[in-house]
Amino acid sequence: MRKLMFPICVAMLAACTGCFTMEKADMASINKATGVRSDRGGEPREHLLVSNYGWYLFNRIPLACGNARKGAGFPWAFFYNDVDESKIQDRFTDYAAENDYDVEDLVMFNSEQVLLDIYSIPIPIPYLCCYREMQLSGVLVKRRTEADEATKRAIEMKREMKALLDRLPKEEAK
Amino acid sequence: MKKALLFAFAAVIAAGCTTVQYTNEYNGIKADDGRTPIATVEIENSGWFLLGFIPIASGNPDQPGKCSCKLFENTVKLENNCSVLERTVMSSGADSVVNITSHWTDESAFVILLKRRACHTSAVLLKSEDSE
Repeated sequence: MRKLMFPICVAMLAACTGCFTMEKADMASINKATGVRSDRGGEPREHLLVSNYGWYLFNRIPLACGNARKGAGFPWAFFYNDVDESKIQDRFTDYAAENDYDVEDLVMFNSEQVLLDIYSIPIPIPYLCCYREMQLSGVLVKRRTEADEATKRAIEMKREMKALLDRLPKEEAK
Repeated sequence: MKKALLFAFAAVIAAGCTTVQYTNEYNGIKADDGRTPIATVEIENSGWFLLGFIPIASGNPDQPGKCSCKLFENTVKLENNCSVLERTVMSSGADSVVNITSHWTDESAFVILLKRRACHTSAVLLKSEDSE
């Protein structure tokens, strides 16, 4: 039993501390299979979800967070705040720029828990030990060239014209 | 016998699940550029983990909406949600997908002994009048 205690403690520590993750999903197959375009006419290539979470003392002092620094060898950041919008967005846009992508549908999710739960019973002192989480989701689309932009503008103009024509008889009837 | 039944019941309740929910209640409204929204899709895939990282059971993305799960395998991945979205898009006949967003939700039981992780992806499927 004593031999098991050390790995259990290490596993518990690893599970308790924060974690920075950058999960990618290939969207090129959606394009190929369906010819689907994104909202602004771009070709979606990847869907990216960057998330980080951490624990704070009195909601201010960082205890343990996921390490958001690029190329960091150690997955955790102790006593250092990495659950930060700019750091997460920096990693997101850095990945997009590195791979020559434009970004669409950028959405940030934040969540916070100010009552620490032990066996689903919250400790009745708020802000003693807080949990904070941030997630940034977005779609990476193929960077558009000038020719693509011109085609996109032409499609948009066509749609606007059609919408105007659809509206005309209704306004006349009124 | 009772114990085995209880265990089986708990396993069914606790097992992961992949669901696809969609609504097409638009009441005739259109997107701002005149395209017709077909459906708002919400895909959820969840699973249970021991100590936060050892997978016990997670939803089967090949059979969304069915009582099917994969044991000791982590399928709670963004990639799987995107493949479910791809199949939904293909079956709906949409020609563009907008507002694709994803997020994680985590819940822990017994401090960190058991953790339920779910990946949610939502999107709006549109169809232009040219393609109709």
